[in-house]
Amino acid sequence: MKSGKTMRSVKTASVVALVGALALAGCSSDDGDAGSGSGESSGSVDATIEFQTGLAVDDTEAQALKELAAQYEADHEGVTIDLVPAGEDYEANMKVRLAADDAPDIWNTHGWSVLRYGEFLLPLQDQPWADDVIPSLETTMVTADGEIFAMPTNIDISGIIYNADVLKDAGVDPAGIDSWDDFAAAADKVNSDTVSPVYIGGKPLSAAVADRVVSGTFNDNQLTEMTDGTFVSSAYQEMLDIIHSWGEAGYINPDYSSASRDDMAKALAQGQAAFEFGPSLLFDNALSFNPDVNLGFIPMPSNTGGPKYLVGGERTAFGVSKSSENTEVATDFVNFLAENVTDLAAASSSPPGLTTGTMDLGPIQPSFDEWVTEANTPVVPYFDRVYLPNGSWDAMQVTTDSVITEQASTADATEQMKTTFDNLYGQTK
Amino acid sequence: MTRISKPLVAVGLIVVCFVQLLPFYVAFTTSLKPKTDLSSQLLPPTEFYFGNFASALGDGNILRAIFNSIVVTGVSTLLVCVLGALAAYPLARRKTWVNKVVMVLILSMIMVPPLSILVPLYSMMSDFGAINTYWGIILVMVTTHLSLSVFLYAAFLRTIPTSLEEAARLDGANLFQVLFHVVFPLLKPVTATVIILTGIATWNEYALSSYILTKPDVQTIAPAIASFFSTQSSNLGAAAAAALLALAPVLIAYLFLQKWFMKGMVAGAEK
Repeated sequence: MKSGKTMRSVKTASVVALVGALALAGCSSDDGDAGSGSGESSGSVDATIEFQTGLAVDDTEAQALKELAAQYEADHEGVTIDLVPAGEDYEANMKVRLAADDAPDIWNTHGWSVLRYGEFLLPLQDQPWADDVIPSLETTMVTADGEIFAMPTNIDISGIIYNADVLKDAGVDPAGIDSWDDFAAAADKVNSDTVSPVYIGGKPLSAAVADRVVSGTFNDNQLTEMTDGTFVSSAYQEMLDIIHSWGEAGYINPDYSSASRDDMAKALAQGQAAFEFGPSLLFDNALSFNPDVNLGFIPMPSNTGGPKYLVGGERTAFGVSKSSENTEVATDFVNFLAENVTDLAAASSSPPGLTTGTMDLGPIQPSFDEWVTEANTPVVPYFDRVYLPNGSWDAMQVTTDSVITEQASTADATEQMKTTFDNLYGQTK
Repeated sequence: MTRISKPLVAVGLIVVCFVQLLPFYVAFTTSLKPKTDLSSQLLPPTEFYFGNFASALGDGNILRAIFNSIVVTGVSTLLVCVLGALAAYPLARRKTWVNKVVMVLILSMIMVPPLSILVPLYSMMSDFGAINTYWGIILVMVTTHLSLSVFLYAAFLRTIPTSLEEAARLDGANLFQVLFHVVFPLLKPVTATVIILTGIATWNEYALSSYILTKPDVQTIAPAIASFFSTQSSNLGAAAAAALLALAPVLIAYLFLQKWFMKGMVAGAEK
């Protein structure tokens, strides 16, 4: 009987606690930061702006946006900025919304402001920040007609990412890697039971490797052929041959098939990876796991006799829907974000996307100074965004993965890529 | 049971319990470690870190998500039970060819994968102004689960002899009195099954909710937890903390309803 009474008390207490907590949550949801503003009002438009950030809810960039949105709301009475976070299926979500003609007022174009989202976005080239877009972004963010569809808050710039401590222990000087043969020699030196010379986060990230290496196997004439719609198989296969040779030499991480982007960052943070190929956000992610890790990047070797190069492009950029009922307010908010581009770039530890911003890259700053500022290394755009038709990314993943996992020869994988290229290019005509 | 088989059964049960509890243990250790703690998730934390729970409550707004899930699951399950039983009664009792065709059509709807109709469904919901609303997601949850409910109720109703209803009619009861005072009380076992199937599926639903509920104020638990992951970054610790917090109402519901859970599980398995 006693235990029955105790059980009832536990049940009652749990229900009271739960109902109380939920009631509080339900009642407090709309409080927001309404009372935190300065009270200054420079406008009286009633508008709610839906802003798909494309960022995780606790991401540092999302936190910076939250603060700026609160500041903007305080200065503009009647305006509400609804920041909508994203899950990993953000791209699929945006595709469904655009197909259903239900675009948010502002959204993150994550590298696709022109090719994928251009027809849905308001041209912003007349805005005050438009002339300040970083020159290396112009290839991919400015159309032939001079149109710009998104305001870049930062840029993605990287080459071969390395763990400086791992290389130092193995006696490798990253600055001395000028060719893929030098890279293989360095990989041989660092290869051990605990360190993978090249760490790739599974099939989804295999294309990120291919997309960076491939710019060094195409010469200018071949790139022109690609632009004109002729797939240059020899140059593409040369890239796959390089990646295949790493697999044969045992450079690639043994857990390749199950690894993820998070695993890449953890491996880099823990000194289990020497080199990685991927977006510059790998730096942020690795530093979030281990703030003391020494990281850097070097330019990519070229196989065509050209100079070494870095790969860069649009990372976080915000565009305004042309079907928005509040284009004026939405554009004004994007302009406000442009005025605060330094804060937004700092939140992502990336260089700002506008020349008006100042840079604070933290531990990556020395690499940036050495290769971008001092050596003036050429920055090439992402290969797929310029030379491959929209939709090629999946084929790039499949073909690179099939080569790494020995499911296809480099010749067969190249043929498969050529078929996809021809089909997709034909559809764009 | 022999002396030897008893310990074997006990060992088997312990292994099953271990396998069942392992994911919760991993979620628990992950939620109590900071992001910089890269030790194995199987190892307990050296010191308790509550930052992930703070993030789940603050950034993730998880209490609001639990409240939303209770509203959406409660209303959806109630409607699925009521509408399912009402629709199943004539289909089970009047065996006309029209009713047979209707039953086949309802059954065929079970076969439609929800994601295959995503774009037209989203377009329609958007035109209705139902995106990011309670009624919108409840409408979708009810329609996706109603066909199975109708099928289960109809199958159960066919096992109830019509003589019970005829006796009530002879005593002067009208159709609705027969339905609510005689038939529906007999549907308790199958109702428990429908509640469990619909309730659990709605509570855990992610595929459609992640498209229809994008704003934190209306998000249910699954999309709210998913908002800790993006293509740029992820926070496994905060997501694990949010998932653990979201367990509380389920545990409390189970504490009260375990008798019905068990009955619902075995409903139909006994005569």
